[in-house]
Amino acid sequence: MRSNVDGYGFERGEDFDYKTYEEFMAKYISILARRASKWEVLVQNKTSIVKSRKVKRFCRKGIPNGHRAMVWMCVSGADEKMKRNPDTYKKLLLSQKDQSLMDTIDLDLHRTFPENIYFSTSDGLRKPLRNVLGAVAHKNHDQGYCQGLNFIVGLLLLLIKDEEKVFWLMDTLINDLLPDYYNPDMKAVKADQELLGEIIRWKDPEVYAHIEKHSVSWCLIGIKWFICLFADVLPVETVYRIWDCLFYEGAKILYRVSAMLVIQNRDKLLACKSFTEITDVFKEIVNNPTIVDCHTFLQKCFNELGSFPIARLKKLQEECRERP
Amino acid sequence: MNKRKEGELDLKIVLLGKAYAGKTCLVQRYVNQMFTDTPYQNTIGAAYASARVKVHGKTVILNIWDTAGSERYQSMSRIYYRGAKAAVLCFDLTDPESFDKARYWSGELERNEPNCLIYLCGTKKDMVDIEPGSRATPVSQVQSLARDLRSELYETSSTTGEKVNEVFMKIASDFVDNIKNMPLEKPSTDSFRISQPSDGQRKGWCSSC
Repeated sequence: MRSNVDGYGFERGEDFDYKTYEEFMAKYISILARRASKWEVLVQNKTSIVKSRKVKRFCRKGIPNGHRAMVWMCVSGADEKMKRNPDTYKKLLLSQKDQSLMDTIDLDLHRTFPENIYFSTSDGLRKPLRNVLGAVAHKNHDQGYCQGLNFIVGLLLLLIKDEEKVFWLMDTLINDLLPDYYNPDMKAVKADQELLGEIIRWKDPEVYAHIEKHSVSWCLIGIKWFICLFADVLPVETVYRIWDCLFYEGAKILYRVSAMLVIQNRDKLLACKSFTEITDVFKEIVNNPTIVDCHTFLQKCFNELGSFPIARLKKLQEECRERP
Repeated sequence: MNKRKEGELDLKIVLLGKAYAGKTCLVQRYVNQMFTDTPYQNTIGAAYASARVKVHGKTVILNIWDTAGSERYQSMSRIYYRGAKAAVLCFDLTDPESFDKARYWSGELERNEPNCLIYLCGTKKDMVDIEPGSRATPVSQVQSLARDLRSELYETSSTTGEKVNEVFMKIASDFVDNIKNMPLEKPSTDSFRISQPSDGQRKGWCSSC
């Protein structure tokens, strides 16, 4: 019998495409098994892992669920931070809270994955979600709470039940991997939308010109992709695969994935004759079968975009940040 | 949404308002003609929906930009409302701060998009119907802002659907009227205000009280 709830607790809508999903899973299951056995050899019984070319390659090919928490913690640097600050999370939980900040967070708790059985009721994961969001916002007071973080913490909690680890992963994301992204002025994240435009102009000028011609702003297309790191945008397994790379490599994977989302749909986009048609295509492509097949999609992100030299990205990023 | 046909008109509409004012519900109710009873998610940045309507013999494509209400996204809103011909300023009838925010947005629009017509929209009318004491801002105060803005005023419920279609149909028909009255050889946006109904016609107009 087909379940209407997936392995992570998300209810499948009436329009869920079982056929595509089952075809993909039939293939993916053997890939998962092969990766799992390779990871077993790599990890053995160790409780931590050191960054290396091999580990990077392994992350790009996907981390088994059982190792995700440990590997994300180690390769991102969150593990080290947690060990250096063993009391921080507990103290933050007990500390006096800024009421208006907590009110803002509370407004979003029941608006976080209402279609997930762990978030749809007031017990379940809503309290851990509140704890982590509150602690992150209070520790990083200049940044406070940014809508969208609720979806990221939500997906982390579905995989990692340990609030303290989720807290340190968030702290590392905000301060080290994606510095300035969640600042109140939103400048960095806005500039990265422009950067996506520049990457498309560089990798596929025809598509760039077409999208510009119809005045579709990159900020409309990409804002949720970048703020939520694809949580609540792409299918959940695809998001975790992206995060396998994100925690190792940082923002670069976000550019690769967004560029691939645009470029692999170039024919559909070029066939559009209006603004509306283009935005409709963008709504459709985040759910179509090529995205469900996360393994092939990630492979394409690394193999089909050509080189992504960090120096060039940095230069483009600086230009984008200087725009008014 | 089907492919665009010749002769159809594009109309950009933006929804603005405080977080939790019910902007997304209003758009969803209008576009899907139903209220899903699962709780809604917060909007990140902006969401986009479109609908095609026929008014006065013209087909108009409504391009509806549903913006995020949280303070954090305020700095981005300008990107989203730029060039909008109509703005629906949503406020939760049961939340006083929500009305203050609508006032804020009206000022922002008057400064930056003077050609954008404003439609004031008090949401969650069904809650006020059940519990009249929950109305947060006196009707007279809301009407006075509507007068100042020369704006239409609606009280909608996305739960029952009350007045939801009316808001968008009125926006579409005002748009078509404006185009019809506009001199053909000068289709610049500057001439937009000229053809608006006079103050007298619009003053205090309120569809639901």
